[in-house]
Amino acid sequence: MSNLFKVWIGLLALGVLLGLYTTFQIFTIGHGELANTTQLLPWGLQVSTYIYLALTSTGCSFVYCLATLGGVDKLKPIVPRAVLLALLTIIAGFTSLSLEIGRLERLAIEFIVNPNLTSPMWWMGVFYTMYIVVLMIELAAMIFHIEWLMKVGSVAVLITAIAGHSTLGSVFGVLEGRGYGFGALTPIYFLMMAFLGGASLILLVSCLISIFKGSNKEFDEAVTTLRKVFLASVAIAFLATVWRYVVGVWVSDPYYDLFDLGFNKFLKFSLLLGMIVPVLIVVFQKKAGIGLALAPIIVLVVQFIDRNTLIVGIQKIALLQGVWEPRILPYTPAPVEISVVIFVMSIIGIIYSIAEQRGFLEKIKH
Amino acid sequence: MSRWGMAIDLAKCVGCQACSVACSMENTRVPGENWHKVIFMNEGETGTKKFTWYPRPCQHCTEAPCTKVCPVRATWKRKEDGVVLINWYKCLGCRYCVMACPYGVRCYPEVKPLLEPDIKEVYHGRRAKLWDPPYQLSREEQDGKRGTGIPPKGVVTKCTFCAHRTDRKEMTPDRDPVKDRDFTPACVIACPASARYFGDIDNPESEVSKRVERKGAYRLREELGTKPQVFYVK
Repeated sequence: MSNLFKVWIGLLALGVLLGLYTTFQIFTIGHGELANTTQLLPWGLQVSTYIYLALTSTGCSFVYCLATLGGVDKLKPIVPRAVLLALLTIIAGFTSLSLEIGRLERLAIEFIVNPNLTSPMWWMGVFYTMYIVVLMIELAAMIFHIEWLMKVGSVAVLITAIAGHSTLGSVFGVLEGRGYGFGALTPIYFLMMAFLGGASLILLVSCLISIFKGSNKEFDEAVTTLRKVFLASVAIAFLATVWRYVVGVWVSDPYYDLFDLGFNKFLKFSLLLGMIVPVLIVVFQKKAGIGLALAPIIVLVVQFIDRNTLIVGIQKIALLQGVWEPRILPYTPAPVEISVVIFVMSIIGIIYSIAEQRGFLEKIKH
Repeated sequence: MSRWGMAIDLAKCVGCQACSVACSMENTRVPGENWHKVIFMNEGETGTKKFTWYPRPCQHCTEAPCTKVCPVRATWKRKEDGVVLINWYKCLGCRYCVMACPYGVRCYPEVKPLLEPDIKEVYHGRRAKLWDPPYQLSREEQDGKRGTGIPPKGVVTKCTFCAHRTDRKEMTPDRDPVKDRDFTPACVIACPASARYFGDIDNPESEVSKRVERKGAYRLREELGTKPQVFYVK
């Protein structure tokens, strides 16, 4: 175990400890008392982090299904990594969400006893529960080399990932009073963006493995294919983002004004920095290394901020605002919300790093 | 079928906010937990500005988006009178209903205090109550299943059309703020301009129905199809 790895694990452990302390505070003092969410802006950084992680998880599953169902055999070396990352990111996402819910203790029982079939959130819970169970079964099937279960599991992962993530999009898509998120395109937009998140995370992990563990021919081929997958995912995300924005800017309804107000940021940050620059990096950096890793890092950071812009943006225009109230509601995450984000990211990092360092993922059959 | 409804005559409303204060006093809300707001709006361009105010209780929509999105049916529309209520014993505090309400009428009182000292700390809540002020509804009137009284921690709250008052008497075409004082919502009683009419909007003989019919009433954000049971007349 190198010193660098020890420092890395130490930092992540600190993040987990910070998160545990924050969790204790949330349960003793109350989340609402500590967070900067308000009566008018009820969902903040923790919800957007959940969306971001759910999106990344779905993307990891898509890349995994490309290898197992799509016949892209060159991606096989990253298959166990994709499944583990999909599982860790979705669990971390739900951790972030859970710590924002007022009465967490009622969640499981009420979801079963009082289901509301017209609620997208209820369906989201059902599909994501199935998704997590299926991912766990898939990982177990890989560990114990159960071929038929792996094949069936791949199909189930794909179906539950699409169902879960598009339903998550519909949670916002049905909010007809809030123009920034409303629309039939929203669930599709979520799915199209998911591919980018997953492809970026897996490309980043592959680059880091090449840097720290060295590479072989099989892995180099996987990275070459991943570059193509990444470029395709950027193209899909570019289309989804641009059309969502063009339609949003076109509408003159005041509840869509955030599209106009955020247009400059959208062009410079989301498109130029978040998509065009990473594409140029991937086109010119052909080998796995620090240079290539920069592209997914930029995408992941921009996507994280963009998800927050989307979720907070949906609530930012005050409903029926009066003249003595701000039209655009202010929101800056509180330390407790940032701590939860550090907590869940550290959980992903620490479990994945240890699994990778111990060679656990290389032993798994794929 | 009978449904409680309200007509608010904007020509009579003076924007004094007595309704908002009466609501907060009657229902013991914490500062910032505005079940009833009076929203002041500008009409016209700069130089020709005209103030209009919209008293805004819960609209008790016929097609309420909040009841459709609640994952556990904690928010529900009572069949007997069409009032939208929250069952605090079921509510998860996920705030999806707050997001779905196009009128911004729902509150989540467990947020940072609007004023210092935090009144929730001054009157610290016992037995899972959010707070415990000295003046509150009687034990019989406090009912978590319909969301009246002091809520527990971590749940959403909203205007109930003062269900603890209206439920004391059987449905009638009208609730006169003088004769039916104990059975009428606090905002209706408190209005010094008598700008509010409360009654059965499905009964054509009720005063509220007549007002709506006679004066060409309209509803907030009508384009959404939520069919509020609160009407504005001018």
